[in-house]
Amino acid sequence: MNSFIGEIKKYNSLSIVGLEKNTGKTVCLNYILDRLPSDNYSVAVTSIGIDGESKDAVTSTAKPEIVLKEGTYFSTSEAFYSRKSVLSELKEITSESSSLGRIVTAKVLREGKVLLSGPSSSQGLSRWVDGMKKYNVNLTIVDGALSRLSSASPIISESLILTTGAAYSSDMATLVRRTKYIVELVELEKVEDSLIDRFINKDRGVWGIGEDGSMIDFKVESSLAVEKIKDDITAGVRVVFVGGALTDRFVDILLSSKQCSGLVLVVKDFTKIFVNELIYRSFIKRGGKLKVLQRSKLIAVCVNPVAPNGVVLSSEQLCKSLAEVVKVPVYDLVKNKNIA
Amino acid sequence: MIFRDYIDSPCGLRFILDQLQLMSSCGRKRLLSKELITSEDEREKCYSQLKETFKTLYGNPSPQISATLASVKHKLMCLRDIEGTLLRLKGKVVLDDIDLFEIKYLALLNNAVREDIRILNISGFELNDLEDVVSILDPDGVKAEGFYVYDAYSKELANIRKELKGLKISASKGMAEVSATSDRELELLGKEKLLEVQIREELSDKLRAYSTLLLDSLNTLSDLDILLAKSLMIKSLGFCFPKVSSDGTTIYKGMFHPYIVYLYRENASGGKEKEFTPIDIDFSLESISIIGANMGGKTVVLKMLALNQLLFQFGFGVAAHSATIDIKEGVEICIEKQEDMTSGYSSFASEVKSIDKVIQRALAGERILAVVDEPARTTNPIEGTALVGALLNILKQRNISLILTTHYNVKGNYFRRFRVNGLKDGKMDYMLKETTEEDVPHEAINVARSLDVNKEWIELAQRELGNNKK
Repeated sequence: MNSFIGEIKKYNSLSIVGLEKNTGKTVCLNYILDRLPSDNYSVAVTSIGIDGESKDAVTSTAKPEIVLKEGTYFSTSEAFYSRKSVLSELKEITSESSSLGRIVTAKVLREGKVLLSGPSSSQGLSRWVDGMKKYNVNLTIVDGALSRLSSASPIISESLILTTGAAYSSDMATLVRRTKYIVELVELEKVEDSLIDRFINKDRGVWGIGEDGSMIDFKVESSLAVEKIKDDITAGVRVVFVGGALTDRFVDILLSSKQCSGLVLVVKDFTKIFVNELIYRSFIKRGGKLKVLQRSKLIAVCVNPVAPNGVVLSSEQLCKSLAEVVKVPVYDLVKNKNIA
Repeated sequence: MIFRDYIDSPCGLRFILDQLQLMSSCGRKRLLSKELITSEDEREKCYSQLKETFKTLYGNPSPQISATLASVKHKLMCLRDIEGTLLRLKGKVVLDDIDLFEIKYLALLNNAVREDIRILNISGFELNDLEDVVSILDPDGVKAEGFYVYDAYSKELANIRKELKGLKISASKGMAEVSATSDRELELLGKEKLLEVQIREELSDKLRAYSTLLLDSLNTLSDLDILLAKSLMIKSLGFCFPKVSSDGTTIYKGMFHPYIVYLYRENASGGKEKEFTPIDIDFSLESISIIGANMGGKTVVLKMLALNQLLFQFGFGVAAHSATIDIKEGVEICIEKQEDMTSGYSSFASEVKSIDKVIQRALAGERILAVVDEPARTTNPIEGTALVGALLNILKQRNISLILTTHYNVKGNYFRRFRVNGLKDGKMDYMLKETTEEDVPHEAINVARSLDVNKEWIELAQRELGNNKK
């Protein structure tokens, strides 16, 4: 079996996404940065939110700071760059900006701590990943932010690490169930290539593939406007594609249709799914299938059994319970420092 | 008046701005703040540069020239507006790493474009040499983008950093551990910060001497962007290089309106494009009235005259086959956009007010071009005719070129008349011809009929007209 770091090195881009604040994203990032090779291997890192502050702005608890090794590229806002303590060479002022000013890119000259705050939109992040190519970096890492699953979109990064923990839910069973659901969505099956080609450029609207293979345009802007579709969407249709966000209401309407069984519902990627677990399960139970056009490789689930409110779950128990329900490795990186 | 003041006038200057392929935001900003050119020297300099550039870039350019042009454009795309930083530098502020990076970036970009300009060999266009600025910010002579307080600035700094590296500060050890194990490291870090601050102060002081030169370079690069965009526009919109008039006469041959030509092209159906009729017109310091059928293009003539005068006085190519143009001190455009509710005036009041401004300027002896579309059209024809006649009269022998359109029957020979050829065999002939006939054409009913409207209405009107004549 490949090691944790070995698996990460197989890809050119990685997103680390926390299912909640304080689920150990920064610990995970530091762990990876510390263990990636420094010879002939370079890394660029940024964050969709603000990361690396020593104290949590909400809970006032101490937080690990982000430590970058010499040679690492990082992108942050100019406001943070001006206050940096790390010795670094400013390489570029990008055309991206955030509420904290323009995003700048620099190369670390001597290991030190940084505050990261990069592009805040998925398009901005995607351009950032592209822009790092000119520095010949081997791996770009995006530190995703609270509830911003969009930063985990396959258009941004090829691989993904989810962090979860007591901060997400203090009840172990709930935590495991909710994490399992997200993992299930991340790991949704990809549709066949011919369908990818037909749908990949459609960013909006609801479309169907009829039994004869013809494309049907339901003439609505998004799944939110599903009420405007007067006919039964599923009549004579084997595949339904939703260009934007997939909502509870949309799946609910499919559920009320007689021909739900065998229907394949397709979305761009898992970050477009905003469907309650219960509704999703009912859809699957009725014989429906949910598939994606693009998916990124889920490398691992990392757990933090400690919550800022003082709740401490059993690390061993949590890892074990999660490992039973998800197919990817589950790590507690604080407890087990040598998994790589 | 500056470019920005005219962009929303109804002559179509905004279209020109939209079509202009500027590469940088600084180019756009600089163009918007350009003053109307009123001196012959400045005009001459502007057009000789433009001609030279156009000839080099589009008069059968070698592959090397085309490649260099592409490279300059790409560099200008990367030009950033750091006027604020440079003004702060001038104002004795100590710059931070981002500011210093921006200045180095500008200096490197300027020098690279300077090399390209040598290849393009545009005579009369030169960029400053910012080598001294580069050497201040690039002590290692790498000539690559990027900046930090380099070791090369101070031996002491280099030594401190060397020692720090040796001590391998690892923040991952956690703060407690760091303070416990490395008082020396903290001391060195403090010294390093202090030295960095000192060096930034020194660098800012040194660069301050170049702040004016740097601002000038930023402006010259912006001017280059404008120059390249103007050259391309001459080619893409089929403009001509205007001559300057020596006797106050303006002559246009084959004048056209680029926006209307563009619309015709965009709306061409089945590959068939509506053709724009180029217009010939000449005028001096005098009053002119253009009369003719509705939909005969009278207002378009006024728009073309105003637009071309502005293009000329902002140093652009001009929308005509050939043009000789008199330099004016200003352009007044009295063409109704839409009733301005905010001014609190009725359309008649705001029209009278803007014409009054023209009269004031003319009476003050200013050499201006004024185009006035159907003055007093919203009032009764008896008083309207009197107002138009008086306007043509009061401005007849001033320094002003007044061109107005009207449907009123203004009698007299104290102004020149141009008439739109009008409907011929059911088709509109937009050409202008000079006439001494005082009577205005009576084509409104025919034009309305050609628009396929209610027949009963048109016939009734025709009968009414017959009765009145009897």
